[in-house]
Parts: sequence; C-alpha cells; structure tokens
Amino acid sequence: METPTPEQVAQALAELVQEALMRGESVHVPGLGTFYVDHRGSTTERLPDGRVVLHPPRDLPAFTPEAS
Amino acid sequence: MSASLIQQLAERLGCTPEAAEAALRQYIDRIQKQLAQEGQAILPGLGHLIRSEEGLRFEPDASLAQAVNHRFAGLEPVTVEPPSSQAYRKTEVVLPEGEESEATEETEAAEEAPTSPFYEVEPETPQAEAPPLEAEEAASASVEEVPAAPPPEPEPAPEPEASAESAEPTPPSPEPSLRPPRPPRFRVEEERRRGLPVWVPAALLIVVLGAVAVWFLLFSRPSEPEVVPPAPSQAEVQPTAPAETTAAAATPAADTAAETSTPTVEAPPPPAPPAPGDYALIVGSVTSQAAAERIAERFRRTLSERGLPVTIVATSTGGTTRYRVAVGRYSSPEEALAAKRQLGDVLPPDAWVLRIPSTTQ
Repeated sequence: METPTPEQVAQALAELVQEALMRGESVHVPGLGTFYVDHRGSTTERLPDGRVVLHPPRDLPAFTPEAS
Repeated sequence: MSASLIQQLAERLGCTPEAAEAALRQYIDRIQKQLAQEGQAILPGLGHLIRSEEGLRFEPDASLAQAVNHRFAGLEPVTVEPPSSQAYRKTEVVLPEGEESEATEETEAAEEAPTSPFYEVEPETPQAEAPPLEAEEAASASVEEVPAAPPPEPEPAPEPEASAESAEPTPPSPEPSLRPPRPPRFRVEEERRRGLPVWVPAALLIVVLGAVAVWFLLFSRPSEPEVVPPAPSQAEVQPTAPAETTAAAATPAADTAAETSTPTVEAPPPPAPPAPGDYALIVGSVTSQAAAERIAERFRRTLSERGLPVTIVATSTGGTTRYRVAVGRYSSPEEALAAKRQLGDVLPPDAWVLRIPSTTQ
C-alpha cells in the first residue's frame, strides 16, 4: 500500500496514542495538539448527609490543542 | 516527538515516512474542517473533539479511558458512614482470618493483638485510637481522618488509601492492612553476635604494631665492622670482650656473647661500670703469635723510655685465635684514648682500645 487511506491513518494514530498513554508518555500530533495522561490523586467528597465518599486515584487521557 | 510519531505511523502503515506524513496531514485537515463546520469531530478509537467557548475539548472514549487507567483498574469510589458510638465496643476484638498475605514479622504482632491497645476496635487501621475521641462529634463536619473511621458493619469496608492504590480488584474481608510495625529487636542482636566485637580488630592491630616495634628496636640495628676505627665509645670494646673468656661482664656486652661473634655490633650498650680489667691500645692484630711477637718487639723499642708496657693478648674469635699487641694499661677507655692522642707520633693511627679483663694475662 503506497498511500494509506484516512481511515487507516486514523486507526494507526489511535493505536499509537493509546499505547503511548498507557506507558505514561504524551504524544504530540502536529496540527492538532498533544495527548497526555492526567493523573488525579484520591479525593474525599463530603455528602450532605454527612457521609463521605472516597474516590480512588486515577489516570485520565487529556488533550491540549495546539496553538493556532 | 512528532518525528518519531511519523516514523511509527510509517511502520504501522507499512509505507514511507513521507507518505505517512502526507496522509496524516490530510487526516488532520479533515478533522479541522469538521470542527469548523460542525463544531465537533470524531477521532475513531480515541474520542470526540468538541469546540467550545474555552477552546477545544477532548472527550475520551470509554475504552481509551479504561486502557489509560489500567494502573488503578477496578478501584471504585467508597462511601464511608460517619462514625457512631456503636463502632467502638472496647470488649470486642476481631481478628481477621486468612493472614497469609501479611509479612512474617507481622504474624508475631497478631499474637499480641488481644492485649495491644491498637486492637480494641476492629483492627482495620492504626488510627483506631483517634476515632473514639471523634465519636462525640459524630455528625459534625470536623471529621478529617475519614479513611481511618471504621464502619460498624463490615460492608462497605473502607479501604485505606494505601490498599486502594495497590489495585486490589475486590474489597477484601476486613484485614488489618496497616499494623504498627514490630520493632526489629532481634535482628539487631543477631547482627552483633555474628561478627567480632568492634574493638577486636583495633586491639589486634595495636599488638601487631607493638611486636614490629619491639623487633625493630632489638633485632634490626645496622651492623658495624669488627675492626672498628678508634671512636670514643664503648661499642668497639664490647664485641671482643665476650669472645675472650668467662669474664663476668655485667655490661650488656654479655648479651652479645650469646650471639656468634659476627661483625655485627648490637645496640651500643649504656656505659655500664667496667668489669675489673684494664684498657689497652691495640696496635696490631695478627693470627700468628710469631708475627705478634715481632710487632711487640718493635713497639717495645720505641716505647720503652715512655714506660709503657707492651704485651700480647690472645683471643679466639669465631674459631681463629688472634694475637693482639696491646700497648699500655689504662683504667678507662677515655684514658686510653687520651694517651693515644699523646702518642700519636709513635702509634699507628688506627690503634684501638681493647678492654682486657683482669683474669687474662
């Protein structure tokens, strides 16, 4: 295959971004922005009835658009 | 980063990097166009890009979010009931079963559990002492250490943050995942018993150094020639004396007598009081008695008017008998040397002082 189709590009890009994020790395896509991992530590949330919810820590995929 | 992105894209797609770059640019342009026209665009496999007042927002797909959060997979939010007075029954001690996951040092702590103050409540956290104080202010908003508050019933079991971050997939039965650490007393003692006490190497070193010093002082003095040029010291007198006879030499020369009469001279002994004996000037030392007689005659002729006796002293040194021509009799080596200076014209310049014990002659 000489020139990949946009669908193929989209899938390859998705795979690359996902793998990089799983490793904890950030990916810069020229023309679009940067995908990175946003880590949130555990938090406690107080409910009105006095109960408290403990949220576990988590990693979220995040995106910063390129300045244009 | 982008360069390697293009490279990786090319590898994935099985095309040249230039083609990959071109295709990517094309794709991005399409995305941008979608964003401009519809206000949002779909990134298959990743999520949605939505244009808003703040800018571009990214909403990840559930699959991507789950994949990225793999380190904390399975952790769910936990709701904790506020502490109530029921939770702290001092009489009840609950020891959870199945402590195989605990470290070995903590199994000993488990045996102490019934008596330790930490285990008067359900042994879930180490801060069990703090919550009883907070039981008064049960529903108030000053509960800070919420993760430490144990619920009255087993579910939902609150997991301390430490165990939550260890990514346990299911909430375990109430296990004390945090215990007061057992002081490693025995380990310290074992370390001491295994090796030598601290001071032993230092003491050994000092002993060795002392032995070396003693050896150096006693045994490794530099040697001196047997025929010693006249020097104002007793050292030359001593080496020949022990070879002579059984004179009871009170001087340290007796030490040298024990050794073979080699030219080595031991450490110059302190000037001890000389044993009964006289000192004479040796003007010749030969191995033949006849030769000694001839030398003696020669000196008698020159020295007779001065009233100096000339005798022959025979000594055995190392198997050979040497016959020495002794001139004069003096009661001290200094006296002998003084006489030698006076007689400098008739005596050879290398005449030396010999102590002659009174038993000889």
